[in-house]
Amino acid sequence: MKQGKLFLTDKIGRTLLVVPLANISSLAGEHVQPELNTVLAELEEGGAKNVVIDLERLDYFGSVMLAAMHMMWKRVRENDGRMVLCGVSELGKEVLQIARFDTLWTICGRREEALISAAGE
Amino acid sequence: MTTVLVVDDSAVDRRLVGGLLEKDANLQVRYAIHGADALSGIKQRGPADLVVTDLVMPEMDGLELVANLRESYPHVPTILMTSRGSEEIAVRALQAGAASYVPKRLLAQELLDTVHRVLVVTSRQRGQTRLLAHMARSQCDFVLENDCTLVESLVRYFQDCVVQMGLCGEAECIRIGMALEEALVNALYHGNLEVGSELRGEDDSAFYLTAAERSRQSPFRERRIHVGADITREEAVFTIRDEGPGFNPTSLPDPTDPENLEKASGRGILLMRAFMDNVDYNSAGNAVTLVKRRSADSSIGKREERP
Repeated sequence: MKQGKLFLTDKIGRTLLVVPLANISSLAGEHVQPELNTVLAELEEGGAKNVVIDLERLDYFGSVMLAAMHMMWKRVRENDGRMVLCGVSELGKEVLQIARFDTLWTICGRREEALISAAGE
Repeated sequence: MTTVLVVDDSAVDRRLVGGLLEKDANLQVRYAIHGADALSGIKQRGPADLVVTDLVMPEMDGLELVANLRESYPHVPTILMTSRGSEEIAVRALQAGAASYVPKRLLAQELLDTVHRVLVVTSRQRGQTRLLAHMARSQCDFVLENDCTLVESLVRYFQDCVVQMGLCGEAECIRIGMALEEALVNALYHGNLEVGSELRGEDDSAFYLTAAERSRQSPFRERRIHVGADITREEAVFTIRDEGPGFNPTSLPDPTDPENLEKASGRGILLMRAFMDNVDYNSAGNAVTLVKRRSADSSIGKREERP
């Protein structure tokens, strides 16, 4: 398990669990980027194929978080993996629907469920 | 007369605390034996001016009571009585909004002073809140440097304004904040610093690197964000203008079109349009006006008012 200021990551089998720890607003972009690069590197070099993003600690998120998730999804797709979200607040679901990202990614209620879904079990 | 509600499951401690408080003839003391009893008493007899509560109690503990009071009676301050072993729950209760704490072993020396201090602060806040409840219109202008931390503070300021005006509840207030944040960030990065969203996509590093470089270079660093707000009880109108060359908002791809889901641009404006009632750009494309009208949930998050 690795814990930065903004993300906690844990590799579970071939799935990388990513937990955003703080409310990553559009304002914190330059602070988010270095940590996001570390997460992306784990996907490229760490052998993880799938990603579960657990958003339980965020009440809401804006375009920067959407962009970050989108970048992770691109890496996952290149590896023919799956990306699953869980712990999404009602406002978070609204944001995903507005951006139509709910059509791209599976949204599960609980982390355990998301890990099973990402692993394709 | 100021009413203090003492909440403790120990009859001995209740008597001790009540005795200490009654040394001040201006304090009237009420009692409850746990959190649930306290809330039920408040419902029946109205809120006290201050709650002094134990932390470890059956039915509903002090932490849960603080959270409940914060939610339903945010103007009623809470003082915690801490004992050895309850430090962790005390920290969580303070984080949840308790005003202060007094160790039980120091009650005799410190309780009355703490109560007086908290009451003075609360009285000032209450007076200000009551005054603001009568505000009919607020107009203001800000000129900001390209500083993210100022942007964040400004969003919080406007959120407080719209809630104080009773324009919306907490849920809508968050949406307004998100829309303003997106607009301000657009003005900063895309407007004043002229960093294009084409630098986003595969890797945001180039985007933020360019932004950091330009924030130190002319003419970008001299540019400012001009923000105007006109907030009444019926609507809030925010105008955000940057000093960049502007853009054509109609040229942006529709980010919800399945073909454009891959592209990085347009999601900020999409959220702005979703969360505000009206979003319009000027012809130059360097100023956006966002309008939010009074919403149905305006009473939900309205702070409890006392006569």
